[in-house]
Amino acid sequence: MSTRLKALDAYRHGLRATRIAFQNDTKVLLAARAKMRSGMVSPPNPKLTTEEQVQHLEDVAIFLRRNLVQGQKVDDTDMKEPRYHLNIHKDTELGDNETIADPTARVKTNLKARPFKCSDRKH
Amino acid sequence: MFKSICKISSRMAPSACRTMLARPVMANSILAQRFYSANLSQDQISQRVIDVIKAFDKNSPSIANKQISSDTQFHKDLGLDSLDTVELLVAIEEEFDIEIPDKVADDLRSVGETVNYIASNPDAN
Repeated sequence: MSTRLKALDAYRHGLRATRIAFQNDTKVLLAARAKMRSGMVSPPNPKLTTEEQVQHLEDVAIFLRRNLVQGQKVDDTDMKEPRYHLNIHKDTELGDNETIADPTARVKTNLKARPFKCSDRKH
Repeated sequence: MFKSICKISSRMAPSACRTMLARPVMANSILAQRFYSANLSQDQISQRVIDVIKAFDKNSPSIANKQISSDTQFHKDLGLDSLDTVELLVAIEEEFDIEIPDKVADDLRSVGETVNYIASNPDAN
């Protein structure tokens, strides 16, 4: 399969993902699609190879599907605190609580165990 | 309990087969048609595809007024580039509530091909 076709497929996956993530938010949906289009025309990170750029878009599509949930404020004056309706859909990644409670899993996110810290950044 | 169901179905099956075979050819063709397209006629699909194309904002005004037929090609006749074509097909997917598989979508170049694919997709509505 040529890179050209792979890129077009990635673009298709990206567009579909924006529909899932921003279903009822036309403004953001159109903005996301416009951004994706401009990314296709002029890649955001020109240093990457074409394959890496295509992979990046595929990853963005997966991220939009699984890891992005939009909230909409529910209009109800009776409530003391604002409430939000979350658009959790069938593709949303629902983490398993067991892994969060697992103490061994937590060690991995320990600051000391991290390969990089904010202070490691050069600029 | 399941065993008894199995027995009944195995007893039923041969007679069912016989009635199927005994059916006139007409009935078979109706059955085939139902599998071919869920509930949309070719004309309906075609009209809706054309509506999506007309509403597609990448179209220049001259194309919006152009006569679109099943022979109309996205690139050659409508002047859409490859990105526009992907966008148009996604818009059509949304109109019919389907997902066109990548391999099929990569080969769709004309209105007619697209209409034929949607007609063959039983999920289209």
